[in-house]
Parts: sequence; C-alpha cells; structure tokens
Amino acid sequence: MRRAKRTISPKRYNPKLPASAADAKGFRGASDMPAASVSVPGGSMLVCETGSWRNVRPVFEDKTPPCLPRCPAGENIEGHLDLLARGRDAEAARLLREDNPFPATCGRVCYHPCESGCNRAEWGGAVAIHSVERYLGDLALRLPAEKPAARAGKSGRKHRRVAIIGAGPAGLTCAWHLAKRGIEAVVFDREPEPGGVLRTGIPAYRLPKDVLAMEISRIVEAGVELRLGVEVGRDIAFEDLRSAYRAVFLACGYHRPRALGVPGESLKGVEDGLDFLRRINYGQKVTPGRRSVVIGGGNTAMDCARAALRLGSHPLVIYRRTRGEMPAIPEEVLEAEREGVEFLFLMQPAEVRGKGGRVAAVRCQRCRLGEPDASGRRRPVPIKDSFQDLAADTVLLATGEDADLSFLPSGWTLGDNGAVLDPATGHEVEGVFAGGDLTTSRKMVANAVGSGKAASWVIEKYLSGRSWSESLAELEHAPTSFSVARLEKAGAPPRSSEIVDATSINFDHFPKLSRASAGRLSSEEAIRSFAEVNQGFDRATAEAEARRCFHCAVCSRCDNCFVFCPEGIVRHKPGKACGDYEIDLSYCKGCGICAAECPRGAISMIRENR
Amino acid sequence: MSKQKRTAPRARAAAPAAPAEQAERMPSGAVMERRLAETEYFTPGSVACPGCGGALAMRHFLRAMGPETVVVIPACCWAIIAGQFPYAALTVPTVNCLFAAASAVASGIGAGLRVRGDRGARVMVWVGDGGTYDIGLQSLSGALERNEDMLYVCYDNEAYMNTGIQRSSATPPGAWTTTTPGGKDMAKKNIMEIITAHRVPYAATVSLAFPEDLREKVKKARDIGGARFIHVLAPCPPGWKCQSSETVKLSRLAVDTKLDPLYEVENGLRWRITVEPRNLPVEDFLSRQGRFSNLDANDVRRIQAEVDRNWAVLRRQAEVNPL
Ligand SMILES: Cc1cc2nc3c(=O)[nH]c(=O)nc-3n(C[C@H](O)[C@H](O)[C@H](O)COP(=O)(O)OP(=O)(O)OC[C@H]3O[C@@H](n4cnc5c(N)ncnc54)[C@H](O)[C@@H]3O)c2cc1C
Ligand SMILES: Cc1ncc(C[n+]2csc(CCOP(=O)(O)OP(=O)(O)O)c2C)c(N)n1
Ligand code: SF4
Ligand code: SF4
Ligand code: SF4
Repeated sequence: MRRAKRTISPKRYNPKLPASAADAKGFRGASDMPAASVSVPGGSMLVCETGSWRNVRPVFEDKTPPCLPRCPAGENIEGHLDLLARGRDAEAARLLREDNPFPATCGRVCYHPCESGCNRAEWGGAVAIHSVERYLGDLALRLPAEKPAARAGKSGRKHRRVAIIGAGPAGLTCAWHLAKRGIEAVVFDREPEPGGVLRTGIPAYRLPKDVLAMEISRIVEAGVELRLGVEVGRDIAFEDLRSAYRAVFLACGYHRPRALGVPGESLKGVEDGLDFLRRINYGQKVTPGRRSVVIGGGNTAMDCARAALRLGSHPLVIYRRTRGEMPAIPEEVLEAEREGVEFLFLMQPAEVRGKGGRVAAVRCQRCRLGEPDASGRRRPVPIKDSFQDLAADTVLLATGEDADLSFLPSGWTLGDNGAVLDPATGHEVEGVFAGGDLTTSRKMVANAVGSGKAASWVIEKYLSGRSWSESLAELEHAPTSFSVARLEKAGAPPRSSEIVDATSINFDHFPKLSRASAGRLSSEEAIRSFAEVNQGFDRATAEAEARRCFHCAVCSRCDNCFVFCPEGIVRHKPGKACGDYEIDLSYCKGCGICAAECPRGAISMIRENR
Repeated sequence: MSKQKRTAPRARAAAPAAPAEQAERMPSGAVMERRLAETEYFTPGSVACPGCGGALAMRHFLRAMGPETVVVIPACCWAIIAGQFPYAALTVPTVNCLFAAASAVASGIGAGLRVRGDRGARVMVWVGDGGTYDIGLQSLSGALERNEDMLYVCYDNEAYMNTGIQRSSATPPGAWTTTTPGGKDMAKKNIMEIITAHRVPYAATVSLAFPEDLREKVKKARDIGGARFIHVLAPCPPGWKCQSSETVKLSRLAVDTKLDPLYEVENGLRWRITVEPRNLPVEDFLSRQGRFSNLDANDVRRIQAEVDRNWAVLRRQAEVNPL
C-alpha cells in the first residue's frame, strides 16, 4: 500500500527542526542541533512507510457487550452505566428511559438476566445492573417529564391513531414509544387503574404503589390517553376498535385463572391467588385463616405466601416439582424462605377437603420427577397411594393463568413474533399486533416492555406507509433485545452485533472490586407491614457500582491504545478534545499491542490480503 | 551524605522533595482517563520490529524528557532504529558512537555543552544491555564515578539482539539464545547493585506497562544534576520468541512476578519500591515466551527461588534504608 507520491515533512513532528543546513550551522544548544546523526540535516525516517510490513490491521470497532442482548427490555446498559460513572446521573437516567419507561419498576421486580452474562462475574461479581437501574429509575421520577411530540393535524387523525388493549407494561410501553413519535395512542383497560399486573398483582413490599403511579403518570404526560374501566368484548367490540383505529396492539396479558380440576375447589376459603392479591393491592381488608396453603411455584405463589404472612397467616407452599424447577424468580423464593414461608416439594393436590362448607385440609399426593416435558423441566409423576392431608384454613390457587382472547374473531392465532394469523385467509391480520405475556417466551415485566417497544417499532413503520408485511420484517432489524436508542444512533464509531465475552477483556487494567448489595429490612421487620423490603442503592453506591463496569467492547476513550503503541501513530482526531482516535495506517506495523492493551476489546485486528 | 553536593557539576532543579506518588496500580479503568499530552520526538517509519519494547521505551522517555535532549547511542538495535544516514527517526539531536564508548562520549558532550554555556540541554545515553552490562561497563563505571551530568538509560532486551540474539550477562537463567542453545546456566547480573554501589544521585527501574511510574521517574531524573541511571526491561518479540502484541503484557508480568521490581534509589543509599507486585508465579511470565520453552518444572522452581531471594533482599533494603 505504498503510495506513489507523498510529501514528507519532518516538521510535522518537530516544528523546531532547522529548515536547511545553513540554519543548522553555529547552533548554540541542543535545541539548535541538526536532527540527523551527522551534520547533514533534513532526512526523516518518515520516508519509510512501514505499513507495508503488516499483514493484520487494527480497526476501532465498538461491538456488543454481553449484558445488552440479554436485557429483554433492550436497555443500553453499558451506556447508562458509563454516564453514571462519569457523574452525569441525569443523562444516564434519560438514556435509560429512552428504552424503558418503567426503569423504577424494572429496577425492583426484574429477574435481571442481563447480570448473568456480565463479564465482571469472575472479577468481584457481576455488575449490579439491576440495582443501578432502580437508582436511575427513581432519579428519573424527579426529572422533568419528556415533552409530548407534536401530533399530526386533526384531519389525519384516524391515520395516526392506535388502539391498545391492556394498560400493563406491554401496552403502556408501546403507547409511550408511539406518543414520543407523535402517534396518538389510546389505551383501554377494564381495571379502574392502569398498570396491569404491576398494579393488581405485585404487592407493595416489592413495588410501592406510589412509585408505579409516578412512573405511569410520566407515560401519560408524554401524551398517552387512558380509557379505564372499559372491557374490550363487553363494553366495546373488537371490530369497532379496528374500524376506528389504524392499528391495534393486543396486550391484555394472562388473566383467566386455570382451574385446579380437583374436587372441593369451590369450597369457601379457596381463592384464586391473583384475586387475593388484587384485593390486597386495591386496599381491601383481606383476612386469610391461620394456616394458608398456597398451591404453585411461580411468582404469584411467592407473593400470595408473603402477603398472607404479612396478614398474620402461616403460609405453606406446595409445589409438585422440586425447587430447581420453580418458575418463580430465585431471589423471591429466597426472600419468602427468609421471611418464614414453609415449602413442601414434590406434592400435588388431589382434593380440597371441607368441613361445614369451609375448607379444612388439602389432600396431597407425593410425586417423583419423570421425563422432561415440553418446557424442558422434568415432569412430576404422582406416586401411588402416597396421600397425605395438610390442614388448611385458606387455600390460594397460584397454578397459572391463561389468556382470554374470546373477543377476537374465532380462529385467530398469535405468532411468537407478535403477528396475528387468520387461518381463514392464511395471512397475517393487517394492523393487529400482540405482545406482553400473550406472546413473550418468558412471562415477565421486562419482556413485556421489550415487546411493547417492538410493537411500536412495527406499528410506526406501518403508519408511515409501509405494507404490513414490510413492517413486520422490520423486527429482524430491531430485535427487542436491542436498544432503540443504540439502533437509531448508529454511526461513528461502527457498532457490530458481535458479542464480546470475557476472553476479549484485559483484566490487567481493572481492579478486582466486589459487587455491592442493597440493604434490606430484617425479616422480622419486613413481615410486619407491606413496606418495601429492598432499600436500594444510595448515590455513592450506585456510582461506585457503575464504575465497576468494564464497558465491554465500547471504547471509553481510556487512551491505552494511544499510550502503548510503540510507533506513536494512534492519535486523537484533530479538533476533538478527546475520544476519537485514528491510526496512521501508512506506518502501522500490525504488532497488535493496541488491541491487546485495549481493556475492553474495542479494537479488532483484521487480516489483510497482500 | 549527598553525593550531589560533592560534585554536582551544575545545580539544575533540585530533586523533588516529596516522594513521587505510588504509581496507580491499576490504570485505565473506564473513568480514569489518562491523557499524556506531550509532543512526540520519535517519528513513525523507524525500522524497529513490530512490537519492539525498546521503541516504545524511547517514545515515552523522550516525551518525558522534552526537546532539550541530546541522545547518545552506541552500537545496538537502536543505532539502526534511529535511522540510516541521512535519515533520522528522532527529532532531537542524536549522536552515534562506538559500542564501548557511550558514557565517554556522553561525558564529552556534557563538557562541550558546559563550555558553550548551554544550561538547558540534557544528555541521555541510550544503550542496550550488551553495551551496558558487558562491553560498556568500564566506561559507564568511570562516568558514574566522575558523576558526569547524564541520564544513562539501559533498555534491556536481555541479549545482543541486533547481531542475532547472542547471550549477554543480562540474559536470564534458562533463556535460549543462539549462543546458549540449551538455555543459559548463569544468573543475570544485578546491574542495579553495581550502579548504586557508585552512590549516584539517582537510579531507578521502570516498566513499559506502568507509564505513569515511568514518566514520573524520568522527569525526576531529568531534573537532577549528576549521573542518573534508569533501567527499562524491553521485551523483544523476535529475541524472546513471543507475540508482538504481548510486549506490554510481558512487561507487566515481569513486574507482577517480581522478576522486574520497580523501585528507585537516591544517592545509592535510600531505596523505595514504587509499585507493589501482584506476586504472580514466574511461570506466568516464562510460559508466554519461546526462549524459555525448554525449561522443565525444576528449572522453573529454581528460577522462582532466585526471584524470591532477590525480592527479599530488595525488600529488606527498602525497609532498612527507606527513601
Ligand atoms: C403475582 C405476580 C407477580 C409477578 N412478579 C413478577 C416479577 O417479580 N418480575 C417480573 O418480571 N414479572 C413478574 N410477574 C409477571 C409480570 O407481571 C407480567 O409478565 C407482566 O405484567 C405482563 O405484562 P402485560 O402488559 O403483558 O400484561 P398485564 O400486566 O397482565 O396487563 C394486561 C392488562 O390488560 C387488561 N385486560 C385484559 N383483558 C382485557 C380486556 N378484554 N379489555 C380491556 N382490558 C383487558 C388487564 O386488566 C390488565 O390490566 C408477576 C406476575 C404476577 C401475577
Ligand atoms: C566493538 C564492537 N563489537 C561488536 C559489535 C557488533 N555489534 C553491534 S550491535 C551488537 C549487539 C548489541 O547488543 P545490545 O547492547 O544488547 O543491544 P541490542 O542490539 O540488544 O539492542 C553487536 C555485538 C560492534 N558494533 N562493536
Ligand atoms: S461489565 Fe458492564 S458492559 Fe460488560 S457485561 Fe457487565 S455490565 Fe455489561
Ligand atoms: S500498536 Fe500501533 S503499530 Fe501496533 S498494531 Fe496498533 S496501531 Fe499498529
Ligand atoms: S484502548 Fe481505550 S481508547 Fe483505545 S480503543 Fe480501547 S477503550 Fe478505546
């Protein structure tokens, strides 16, 4: 790659060089001496373009940290940790909200799969992304709300209006992203208050209701319209919605309780777990009996048990498989256990037995684990003649819910990607999209948030004139796990979707610091009320935790490449105070030191064909 | 007793009174931005091998020394790297000289500058390990004894690399060279003890992996009068049979395995360790280099024992005679 002509000026490197031999004569001191080793001045080794030696070349290329694609809400985790670590808290909080309008909520209830891929794991423990998220989420609540975007004029209204069924995290997230882009979103929910399960299911000791209310009011302020107390299928027909709005987003969750299918289910004292939580969450007086038996192993079961405990009952959870198969978030199981909830595993109810019309006991049958089922978990197999009666004053059923989509035209089915199929036509139904628990692989809040974002992405494309199938195809470019903020700010430096693992991290450049953990109420104190158990991070802890982040694969402008290049050819780009680098490839010998000493794998060495 | 007072030829700035701060042990965390804003005096286009530790060393030394520097280079790789007539890779005056004569030539240049009344320029003698530990040792000792006003830098690539990897008295035990095909039997000469025995005002070791520590020591040495000596280990990819990308990593491992402890000595008497090693096993350093591929477990154990012994001696020095 030698260039034919090139002006070489040693002055580029030292403005004090004498311009000619005459100037060099009679020098008074070292600074006047000629540059060459003998008295002939002028020649510089810049004539020798050592770039021709190399067969690999360094390239600055930001890639993808492993935490990022694991976040179902698609947060730009590395980005907000970076801002927070630099003390720019408010910007960090805003960046976080660009992808997720529920950071204070997710910072409390998310199962944080992001942390399980963190490259810090072996170096003091994964970064406590989840707790930092809560700190930033709470901070965002104190910042001024985002301004609603300007909307299209009245005439074009129908063409810019979207109906959303369900004001849970999926529906509200979709509405929020649409509103931010100037699209009118109207959210229908049969409940008197918005929030979905966040409002009716998750109790205040995990998610204080004022936090949720503030977070939702931010969403409404951004220009979202709520129609509460309206049940689609009863108060308004689905077809009417379709004709009044350009697009409909189905986000009505899983709310139809699954029957247990055993005798005695309708005895007094047997209650659906979600109803039980719903009554508590709406502030009604709820008094479970002395002994409550909770049936199930998911989050609902854990919350039923912990809520019952706080209401003076002694809860016992029975689950038909073992602890390892429980679908509940492991931390919630631990908390329940710590607070004094009892567990019996490999037990399944066979009958609810009563006395005088009231529940008295649950007759259970012991199980063993058999072959794995469709979910990959081992199936419980009841053991013959192994019945046992467990005394109970209250029985709470937490064995799962189903979707109730009876308002849809018959036969319609939901695809995993959110498209809705009409078997009568064999095509995707135009303008109808589904998300949240209805479609996500894991029925969790962050997944609902991510699917709401994906829905907004598809619907926006459709409203801006693409065909429905083209709009659906957009999903490929915008996987829910990828940050919209990141996607939209593509550009310099290039970002690749290659995920960097710990082998690309240069641990020499990082001190081994332990992960911080948030304070929590003692168990004795916790079970006395519905006060929030987890106390979260204070500012200093959150910032220190953010500083533990490696910023995997994203150049943090640490200058290592600049410092360690033996040739001195990694330079700051002219005009930029710091941050952007360029490499003078005319001279780069391809040694690879810059890439090796980059703490975070933001430089790739690529082979050259010579 | 300050040797500086005895013969200091020219009092420049006194040595900084406060001890240089302990170098940042773990630099370059995300937020710790390190900006070394100095100018470069080493142009690209040099013929140093890819990943040359000696080249990186010169770059940082000159950035710290500044433009008022005369470099004296005897026969060694750097005589080539600095450029072939009439081309130069350094933008400060450079004088090439005979292999054994570097310190004598530097003494002469120093005298010449003094006669001309130049109070700004500093002489930096830049010599390989062969030129320092072996062939230039007598002229170096003479210059140290006279307390000549120079900063003598030994960039130690642990063999005569320029002529094709022959062993020197700086080659470590066990290392393969073309003249020790089965691995060297003798220990590495302890040059720092030889230098400090001359009671020079300042002597120090620096590492390419600790650029802040390097820079502070070079700046400190720059502003002291009399003879100063700095040793820098300079990984050499062809000679050490290592990856060119691992120059800095090996430098760091040498420090962290205590093979190349970082310290400074004032007036030959007061010692201070400036970077606390992570105390890794020497094997971490040895196993990444082809020149040590013939070592067996026993050899490694022997080397470890020797390293531990040397470290204990240094530790004791720093405790008994602290700076
Ligand atoms: C007790 C409990 C605890 C949980 N804990 C956690 C946790 O700690 N972490 C976590 O990540 N996930 C948890 N989950 C799961 C999480 O709450 C859900 O995955 C999430 O709320 C799904 O959001 P969504 O928007 O899809 O639906 P939902 O939150 O279910 O919201 C759907 C909304 O649609 C409304 N609706 C339904 N049908 C109609 C209709 N026909 N017309 C009008 N409105 C209708 C409903 O009233 C509801 O408000 C928990 C779930 C439960 C039940
Ligand atoms: C008196 C004399 N003997 C031998 C040589 C050949 N010679 C040139 S450079 C060199 C090796 C220098 O080794 P070292 O000082 O360790 O520096 P390096 O090349 O390793 O950087 C030798 C032996 C010479 N130039 N002059
Ligand atoms: S260190 Fe930071 S960027 Fe890397 S995986 Fe962990 S949180 Fe993500
Ligand atoms: S350290 Fe310098 S010479 Fe080596 S590959 Fe990087 S840019 Fe090229
Ligand atoms: S070494 Fe530092 S400045 Fe250079 S690419 Fe890596 S993170 Fe960016």
